Amino acid sequence: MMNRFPTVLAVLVTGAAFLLPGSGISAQEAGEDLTFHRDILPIFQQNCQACHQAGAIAPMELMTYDQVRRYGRILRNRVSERLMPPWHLNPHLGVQEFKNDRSLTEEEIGTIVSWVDAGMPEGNPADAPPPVDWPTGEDWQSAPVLGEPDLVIYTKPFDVPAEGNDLWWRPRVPTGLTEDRYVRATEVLPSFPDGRGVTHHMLVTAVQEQSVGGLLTEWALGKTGEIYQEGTGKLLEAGSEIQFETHYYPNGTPVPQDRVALGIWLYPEDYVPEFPTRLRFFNIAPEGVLAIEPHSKPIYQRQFVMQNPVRIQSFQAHFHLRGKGASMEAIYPNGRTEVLSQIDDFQFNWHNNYIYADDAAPLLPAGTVLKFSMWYDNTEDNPNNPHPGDFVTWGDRAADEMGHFWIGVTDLNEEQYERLVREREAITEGASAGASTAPGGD
Amino acid sequence: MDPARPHRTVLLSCLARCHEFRIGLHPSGADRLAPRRVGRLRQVEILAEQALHPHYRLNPERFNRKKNTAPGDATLKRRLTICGIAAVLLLGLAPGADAQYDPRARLQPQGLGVSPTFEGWYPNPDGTYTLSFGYFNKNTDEVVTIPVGESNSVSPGPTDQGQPTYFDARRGYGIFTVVVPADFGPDDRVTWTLERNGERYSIPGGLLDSYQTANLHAPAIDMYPPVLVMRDGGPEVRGAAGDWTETAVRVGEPLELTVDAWDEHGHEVSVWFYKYRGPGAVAFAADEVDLELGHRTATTTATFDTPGEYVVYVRTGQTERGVREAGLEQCCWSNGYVTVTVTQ
Repeated sequence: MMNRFPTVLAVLVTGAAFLLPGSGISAQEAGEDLTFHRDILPIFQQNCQACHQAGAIAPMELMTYDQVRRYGRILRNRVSERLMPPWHLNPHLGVQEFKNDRSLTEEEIGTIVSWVDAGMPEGNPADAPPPVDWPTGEDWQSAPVLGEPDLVIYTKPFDVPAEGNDLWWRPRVPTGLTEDRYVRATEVLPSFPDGRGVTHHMLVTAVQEQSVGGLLTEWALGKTGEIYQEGTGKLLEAGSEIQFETHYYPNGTPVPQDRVALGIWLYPEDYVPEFPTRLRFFNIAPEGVLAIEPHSKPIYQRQFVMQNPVRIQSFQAHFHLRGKGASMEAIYPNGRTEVLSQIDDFQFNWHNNYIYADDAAPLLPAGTVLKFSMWYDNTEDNPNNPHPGDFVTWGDRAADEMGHFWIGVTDLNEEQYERLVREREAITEGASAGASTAPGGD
Repeated sequence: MDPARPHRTVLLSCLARCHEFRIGLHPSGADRLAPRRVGRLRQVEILAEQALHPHYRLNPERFNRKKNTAPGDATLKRRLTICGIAAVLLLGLAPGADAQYDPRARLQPQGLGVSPTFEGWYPNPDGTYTLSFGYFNKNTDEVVTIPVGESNSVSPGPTDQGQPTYFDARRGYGIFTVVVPADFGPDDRVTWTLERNGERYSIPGGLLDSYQTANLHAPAIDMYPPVLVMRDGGPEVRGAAGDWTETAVRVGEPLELTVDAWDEHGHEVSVWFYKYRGPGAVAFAADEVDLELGHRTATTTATFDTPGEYVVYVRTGQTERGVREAGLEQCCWSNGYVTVTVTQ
């Protein structure tokens, strides 16, 4: 009976399609010249079709003119509201350069809006770019860059029922490593096609003598893999084991004997990266504290001081259905403050991990305070809210709440920090270096 | 009354003290550490955070507790050992990062209200549905009493539908249920209202999406609620919808409370006794009874200091596994209730 994914997706797709304003970029005159095959299809190939194709995770295909035209008004709304593609960072605050950016530019949004407003002309099929040869959901997303993973570790099989509430499956599996190795990249791959629809998120912890300083990786619906910068990695010891925690979410289709795969790309043998990194957990609304009153919109905040220089690798917030927005702000030792990243419209189905580009990953001097904020919407204003009248406390279920961040952090010593700052300055020299990519505040 | 609280309080206090040590001894940017020492400190941080967040645990068996379960001595020792190690290391070493503002600062010890919580629902074999309710006492220390009436009512139907009047501090999970008929519609609601010091909460429960619970089985860990038998020849109860019994005693005389509890899948169980309703104090000889395998009978005594109508809440769950391990499902414990008439 309980099938929430379609419910949430339906809300996402159908919500207020005709009520919301345009982006402000729309120009009727420009739209008259736009055609699907020449102007729209390239945007969809680049940004949408990876998910909106047969057998993929999206609820509808957006491969052909007829398919796109059918959802034209809804698409106009979704892209102008920046809810699709699922990239929910504020485009005007903080770092804007990412390795995995799938957002649309203002120009692309304006093109789609204008084309819809102009009546969605098809144009000449001869103007269309060649179709993309898409990988299937069975393929590793990092494979085109890194090749096949060096190590693939599967969870033990689990029978996911068709109906019912959230489930957590926590098997422990040996890595099989006989020598210490450093991890270059990781990726989680749910089974395809049925497993992908029921696997909400997964925590992957290396059980070994020396902690990696947090999780080996975390994955959630919509997240891509993690690829570390050259010279940056995590140690995986000989004889280590992987403790999985898989959060399943039944969606109406039983998935017997489901297994989720963890792909690991390793550095060469005997290679020791200069920058061991870790995925840090910043708990902003802990159990025992988090309390969300009915029909309320509370905010939780917490601050942490970096006792040594750090490079921030990635940014990810974790909420449930009442989560609305989240931000990470740097308060530099000289008192200057700067928002590094801010999520304006969190979507439970998209726990995006925003991976900063190598030349934009924030470099923070020792003494910088990271200030985290998370805000909730337990009202009828939140279309994902299953019960605005409930008093919500901390819990694992989607109907309960959480509030924390997973932040990729590379610790630096002073010499490394100064060197990276000089390298960054050399790269940005001559350009109007964004404050967020420059060393903080000194 | 909360079997988990004393241990949790110790842990929270320890962590808060650790933060104080870290802030006091190592102001921002005051120290630089060798990488090995930094690494040790971060492991301590991880241990500390694990204690407050199950998603972060390396060993899920260590921090699998919720209010319905009480840590055994071994578990408590493990926790205190971790806490002790953290405190010792933090006294001598600086951290990699400090929490400057602690969200726990928003907590208040007393004076606040109590809200019902809707825990979820599950279908019954006869076609009816069971709605499960808990509560959240916003005070960290103060126990609150709200008699049945305008300030503690369930609707529609009788004002008194078996809800508690005695609210221990903080969260109580799945402590009473309301069974609704098979024709209970998707938009129908049962509402529990609590008001205290002008804070009024009316929390509706119904057959809501995202609120269906696996009350009688947590399949991911193959866990079931234990069997609870409240009286000789009484029914075998499993889950939140508990059995009610009655008895009587005089003020000041110990009342023996005996129940049978066991797990059908070979796990040790514990039985906890709480005050649920009543005008006076209730003293239990033991408010937790751990049953080894092969033993089914849990006995304690309750002594009442004031005449009146009381209810004692009996709860049983696995000794070493709790709601935490089931992913905070509304599983796997069983409820029972004893109405006690206390006379002078």
